[in-house]
Amino acid sequence: MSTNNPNPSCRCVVLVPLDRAQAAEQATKKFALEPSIEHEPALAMAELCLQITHLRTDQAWCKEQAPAHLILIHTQELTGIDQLIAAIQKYLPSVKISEIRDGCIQEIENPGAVVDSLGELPIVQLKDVDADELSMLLDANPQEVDE
Amino acid sequence: MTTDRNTRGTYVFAGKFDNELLSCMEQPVLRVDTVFDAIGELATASAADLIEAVVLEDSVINSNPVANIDAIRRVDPTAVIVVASDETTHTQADANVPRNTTAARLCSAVVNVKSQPTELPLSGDIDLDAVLGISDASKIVRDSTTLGDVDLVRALMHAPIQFKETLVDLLKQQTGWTFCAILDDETCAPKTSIVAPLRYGHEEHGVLAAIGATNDDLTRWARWAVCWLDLARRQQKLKILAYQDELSGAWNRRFLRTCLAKELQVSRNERRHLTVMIFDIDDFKHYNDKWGHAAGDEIIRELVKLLRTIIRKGDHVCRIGGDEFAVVFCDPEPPREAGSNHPTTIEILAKRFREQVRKARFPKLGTEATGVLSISGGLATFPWDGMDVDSILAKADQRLLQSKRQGKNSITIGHDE
Repeated sequence: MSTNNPNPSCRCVVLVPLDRAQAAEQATKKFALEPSIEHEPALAMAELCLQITHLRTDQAWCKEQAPAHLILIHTQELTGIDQLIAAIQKYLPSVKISEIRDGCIQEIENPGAVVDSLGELPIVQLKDVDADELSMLLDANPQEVDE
Repeated sequence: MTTDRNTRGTYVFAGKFDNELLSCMEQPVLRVDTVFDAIGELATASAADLIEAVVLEDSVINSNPVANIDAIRRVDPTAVIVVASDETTHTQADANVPRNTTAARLCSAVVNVKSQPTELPLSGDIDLDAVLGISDASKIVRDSTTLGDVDLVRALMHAPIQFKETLVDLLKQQTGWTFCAILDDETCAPKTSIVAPLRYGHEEHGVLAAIGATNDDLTRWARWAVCWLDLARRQQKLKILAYQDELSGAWNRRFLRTCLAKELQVSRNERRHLTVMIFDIDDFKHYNDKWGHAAGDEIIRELVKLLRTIIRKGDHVCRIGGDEFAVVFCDPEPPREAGSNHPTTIEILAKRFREQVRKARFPKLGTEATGVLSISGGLATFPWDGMDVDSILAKADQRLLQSKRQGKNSITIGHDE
């Protein structure tokens, strides 16, 4: 999913390496964000935790709330991103995680994919499958197989 | 992994630690792999949980120790942070221990940290008028060219913080001096100025410095000015006496009601929440009867000191009865802005306080006594539990009674029977 105007409200945390801070400023202007900009993964995690706490407080006033949002910019240059994402998934599952790609904010629908792309890609060894087996696996539905 | 957590104070261990160390811990322990998990555990700890310390193996924070420790502190400023390292001393941490530390040594390090009270402003150091909302600068319409005694009286009544400024303006207007200031001592005065002491009886009020004045004029006006300064000081002292509990130094019931009314109004306008905890000491009468009233008084004083080490700047401790206390937890910050530190949840603060009281030893209770106290309390939060002073206090009181009925040494938060 991508959008040029995600309007993620002001509740977003932008994680960007310190030497790429300008990219965060540009994104802030382009997408009209009011983010909390962090340069360290641990501080981004802390900031998200605090935002979630604040969201819960606001819910008491029945305000319509946008979910907390983490936007990653050039984070392949930072260490610990995979661990950060794993911790967010475990402790803050409502947090939306996106990255800026091709000039758009693109939600990471499968954060695991990002984790893989950041480190060395795993090598998957497939057993040989012949054409018949492949055809059966792709086309046949289970009932037909039973028959 | 041990996941048992309770109010005894869990230790979160992040990184690789010997199983032997963890198994020797008397406290509940929680083992996580990364600093992010440790932050997550702190942030998601419920009111029933109490994370006392986070023990970090240095390898989990080595990427940026300062940022990693700062992140933990942002989420829970009251948890003790210990780093286990053989190579580096991390000054940002509360304590450092070697990696092969023992459970006893680790606990001792945490206890040492917790025994050092956080520096917090004492009751007398705050701007009482601002806290109580009794100053109203809008009532002062100052025209610096036509000032008179009435402006000084108005400043005293409605905006004491502007009193000195008004006094100096009035002096300038009456004398035509090119420079005039009330300073702490003459070393602060400009070299070209002359100074006169501001002394009323034994009370020192600094010096009056002026440029363009004669010595006689300056002395005459200094005598006049110091009368006003002393009046302002006495009025401030009287105000504090009116709102402070003499025995403990905590605020009194009058302060509680005035402050709470003002804070509720602020919370209503800014859509913030506000929590009040009322608690009392379990079986306090028993201690008074057995160890005497002097011991009882000492306990009250010690308890207030202890409470001040736990609350945040902006929270208020009030003694509202013999052994009955109220704490107003008001977030002094406006609705959070990006990058600011959100306060720890009130429930955790309350639980932490109860636990601290239980652990504290009160020497005045004597060597024969157990020296252990417990408290029971109730929390009520605006807007959920009430919309005005009376309903909030009534709800907190009702929950205090509920805690008593449940067997004391507990704090009831938000579940009515």
